[in-house]
Amino acid sequence: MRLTIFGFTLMALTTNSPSAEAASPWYAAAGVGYGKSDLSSWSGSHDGPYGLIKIGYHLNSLFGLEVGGLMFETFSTSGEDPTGQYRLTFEKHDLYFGPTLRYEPQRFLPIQATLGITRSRFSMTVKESFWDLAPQGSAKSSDSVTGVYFSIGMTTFEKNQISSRVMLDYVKRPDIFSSSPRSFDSKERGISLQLLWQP
Amino acid sequence: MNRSILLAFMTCLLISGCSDDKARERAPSNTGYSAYIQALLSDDGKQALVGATLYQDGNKITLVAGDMIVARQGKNSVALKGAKEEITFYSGWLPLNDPLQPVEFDIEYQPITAREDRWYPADIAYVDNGPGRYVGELSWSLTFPQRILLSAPSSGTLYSFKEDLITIQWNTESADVDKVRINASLECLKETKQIYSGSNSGEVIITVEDLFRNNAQTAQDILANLLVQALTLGLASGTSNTRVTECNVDIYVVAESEAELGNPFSGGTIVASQSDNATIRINLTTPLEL
Repeated sequence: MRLTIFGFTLMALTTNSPSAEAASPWYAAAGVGYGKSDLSSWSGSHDGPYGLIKIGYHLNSLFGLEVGGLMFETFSTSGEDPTGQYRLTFEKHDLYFGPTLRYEPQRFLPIQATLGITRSRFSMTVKESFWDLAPQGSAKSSDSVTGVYFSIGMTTFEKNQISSRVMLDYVKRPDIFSSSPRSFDSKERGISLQLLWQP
Repeated sequence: MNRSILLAFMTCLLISGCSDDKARERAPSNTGYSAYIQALLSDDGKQALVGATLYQDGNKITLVAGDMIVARQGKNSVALKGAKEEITFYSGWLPLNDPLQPVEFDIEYQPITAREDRWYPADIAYVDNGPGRYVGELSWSLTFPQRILLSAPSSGTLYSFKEDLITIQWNTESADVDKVRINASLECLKETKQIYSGSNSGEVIITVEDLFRNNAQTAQDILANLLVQALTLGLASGTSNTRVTECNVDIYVVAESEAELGNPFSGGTIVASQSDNATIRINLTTPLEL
């Protein structure tokens, strides 16, 4: 029974694979966006640009697979308590892999969505000073977490091998620095403009 | 006693020495180490609010980068933290197994505890300078006096006239009580007043009107501001009503034993206190104009 279900699924995903005469099933894209970064234990937020690159493969006219990377702007925040003054700087990078869905309704622009598993690298640098009562310095720690990437949007332009998309992007990185009692989640929300090339 | 009110009392005492007692107002020594240490035992004797301000050559000592004053009784300990309003005033709540046993104080290097209130994981990334110059340099201890009991007035006693006499009576069998203070927290005015500071006489009598008018205490504004912040979470500032008809008043009687600090200190005092309290009701037939 299981083999039968798997067989039908495989047939459905590959039935409409492009023929040798149609466009390549491969594509590459790059884009820039602007969005908001949040940390669950931080009352503030950061707005800034980000970039992304991706490579994908159309399994058929509906489904595909995609792998890509996202690069977000470094941001900093400061604070102070009786122990000393501190300045934190955060760096984030993500790689993702997952399926895509493309839907072309009649009389409307094509819609794409991607849902991926991410592997994220999150780094935190702390610079501390103590009002000249003790030597200042810095410390750094990094963590790698598995999260989720979701993107949805529509094609705004298509000609020959080039198309452009406007996409809403979302990244969640849960439980960063899980070994600490003060671990936190990180989220990104943004809108990006992407250029896609399909040979 | 409400924890916020206790902290307000202690902050006032250690920041400004708010007292009309000349012995308390002695300045720290201009040479060497001095300290003002105070501990207030809770009503049930199961915990104490401890606080400290340290001086070197007359200047307040600021402990940074992980150096902390640690109070310890047996297996219980607490690292005292600097107050936001005055970072050189260090306080904390110490659980007690036996209020008659002494409380020991040391300065220790605890870099993670010192940063535990930060929002980010400061336990895995911090500047580790190692123990500072005061770690292991200073230590002291204190012992609480015997329990004090407020025998009058009883909680819920009603006073209806400004001429009414409020008889405040207390009992303590401790021979270690050097001073008794009586404080009144006026809920309607968001103010706290010290209405008595003196010997362990066992009784003080004051009129209702004097309770509201008595403003001969020092640093009252500091204490009032701290108390209002504690009670209202910083959302309100104390405002004085000019007309009092109804008011709940918390009467606190505090027994203190005072001792000199030994070597290496050349100045300062240790004050250990026990307290008891009662809440009386003021409902005046004729409003009191302040």
